[in-house]
Amino acid sequence: MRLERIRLKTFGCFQQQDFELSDGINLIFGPNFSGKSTLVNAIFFTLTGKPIVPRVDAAAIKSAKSYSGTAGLQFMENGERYMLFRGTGKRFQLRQEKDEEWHIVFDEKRITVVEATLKERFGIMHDRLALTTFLREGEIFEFLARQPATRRDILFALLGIDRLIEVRERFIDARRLAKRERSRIQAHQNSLRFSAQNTHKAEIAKIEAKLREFEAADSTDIGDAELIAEWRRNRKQAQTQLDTLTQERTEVLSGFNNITHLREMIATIETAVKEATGLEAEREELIQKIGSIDSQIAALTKVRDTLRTLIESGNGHCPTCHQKIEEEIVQKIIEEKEIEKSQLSAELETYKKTLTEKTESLESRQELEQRLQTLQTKVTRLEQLEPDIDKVQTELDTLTARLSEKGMSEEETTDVPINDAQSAESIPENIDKRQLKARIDSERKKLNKLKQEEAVQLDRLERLQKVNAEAEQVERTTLSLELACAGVDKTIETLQRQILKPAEEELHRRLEQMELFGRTRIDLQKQHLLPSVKIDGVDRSLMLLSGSEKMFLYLCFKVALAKVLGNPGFFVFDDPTLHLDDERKALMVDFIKQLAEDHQVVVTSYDEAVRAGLEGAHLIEMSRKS
Amino acid sequence: MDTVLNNETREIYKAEIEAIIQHDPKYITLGPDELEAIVNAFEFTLANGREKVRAQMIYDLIQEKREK
Repeated sequence: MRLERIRLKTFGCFQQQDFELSDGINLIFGPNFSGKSTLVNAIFFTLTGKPIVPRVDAAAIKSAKSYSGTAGLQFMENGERYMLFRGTGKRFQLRQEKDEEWHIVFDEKRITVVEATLKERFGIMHDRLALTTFLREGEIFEFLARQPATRRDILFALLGIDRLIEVRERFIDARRLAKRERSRIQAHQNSLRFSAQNTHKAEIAKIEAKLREFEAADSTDIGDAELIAEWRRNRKQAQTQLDTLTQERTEVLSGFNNITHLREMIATIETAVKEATGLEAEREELIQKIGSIDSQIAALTKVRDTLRTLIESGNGHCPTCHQKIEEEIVQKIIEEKEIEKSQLSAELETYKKTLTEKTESLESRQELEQRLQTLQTKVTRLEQLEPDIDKVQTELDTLTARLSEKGMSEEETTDVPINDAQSAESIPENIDKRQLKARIDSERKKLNKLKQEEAVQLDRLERLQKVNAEAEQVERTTLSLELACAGVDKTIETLQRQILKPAEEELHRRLEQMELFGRTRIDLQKQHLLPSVKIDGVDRSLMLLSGSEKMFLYLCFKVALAKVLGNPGFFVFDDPTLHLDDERKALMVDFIKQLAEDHQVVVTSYDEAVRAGLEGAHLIEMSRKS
Repeated sequence: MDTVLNNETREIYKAEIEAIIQHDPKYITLGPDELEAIVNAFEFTLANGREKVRAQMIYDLIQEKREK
């Protein structure tokens, strides 16, 4: 883009005026308040729609007392001539010259549409233009004072990395979704895993095997061999039963020859017990008698002792009736009482002896009764055992006879082992058809129940397998999205490196040309665009450089960025020599001349030394009157 | 800037992902299908812009590729 003319109408301090621009260096020269910065602002405003000074409303840059202001810019782009007009009231118009006549190409008030059109047609973007093309008053300090995050945002916007940041944000959102999905599936997985743990396969197989045996036993038409086997089993069982019964009978008899002998003994004992009937009554009578005699003896003893006391006291009178006592009579009574007591004592001894005998007889009778009861129980049991033994013996004889008829000897029938051990285990030998049917029904019911439960478990298992597959898929997706995020980060780093590396090289080249710092190394990636400067191997903060050093470094940085990011083809510097001494002004003039070798440069200054230094440049002289 | 964010960016992204897979054993289970899905998702998101792309689309895009 080559700028040709600036057209202003009620814009800043200008009512209506055109300013021609030429290739190479354009020096806008004039004193303070002559409108130099307004021209710079007009170019910036026309291209971006915003004043060059941040946070200033576009409406504020119109002339005082006017309704609105308009700035226009005529320029060449790819061999075509255009004219841009932008009003402070947001009106925008693009005209193109064709056949020496201007045609309106675009007329719009919507800012976003205008911005998109300028970006598409001429690659004009506000941030990039501000950082790579224009230098305005106070810009360096403002840039350095920005927060790293702000500088990072500017950098990302300049490099187009902001779009990658958006991609990363979307990936992070998707990853969050995937993680949430993974948690949900894991919970589902755990619940299914827990409920599908127990299966009945082994139990079902066992019951099915058992049922097969039962059904086979039930449905098979029993042949001779099987019949013989069954008879053998039955015979064996009958023999065992007979052995048990016989052994029990022997134990019950315990010493008696047979049941008749036992019955005789019972009869004898019953007679003895009968004879002993009345013993309890006699014994009771004796006990009562002994008790009575004991009482009589005690009474006699008491009387005798009282009488003796009466005699021994020597009082001679009865203490109760106070009559005189005849000692001889009393002595006689005492003797009579003694005799009476001796008789009673002898009688007592006799009774006691009898009582002992009776008690012993009674105990013997009780023992006999117990013995009788035991023997009677045995007889009862024997009476039960005998028919059973007879019955089993008959069955055994029948089976032996049947087996003999089939040609099986006694030994064979006894010793032949049961071949089908499994059948013997699961089907009882003496089970009949009816019982077998009942068992089959019962087992079938059990099997059906287990199979139903198993079907439910299998369904759960199937669902678990599906969920497992789903979980694996989500896991892989989550991992993929993690990788996607990490990939975006790495891509951002790589792009920064790729874009900023040439900028760093250009910056080194420019600085070396100026021979301002000696050997410098610049790292533009560090701290997001705030160049880290290493001068002669020592890190120097950009903030601590002198004002002129900052200015040169920043201009070189701007030019270097312009080179890698793309530049519209011109630079506009508002008073770049401000605060520079003569030596540094000369250096700046050289810098501008170098830049003008392949760019159009617009510079403002009030300094005669700059004017002299830029002799031959297209001069736009400004005065306060204009 | 659009010249930077073109197919070249896609290739850079692909190369970066391959490098991550090689260096981080965590991603070793991911195969070429996943890699292609991720790169496609990246390209799709880059091309369609923030307003037009939702997280669910990325998720679906990767799932779809994986299922194939």
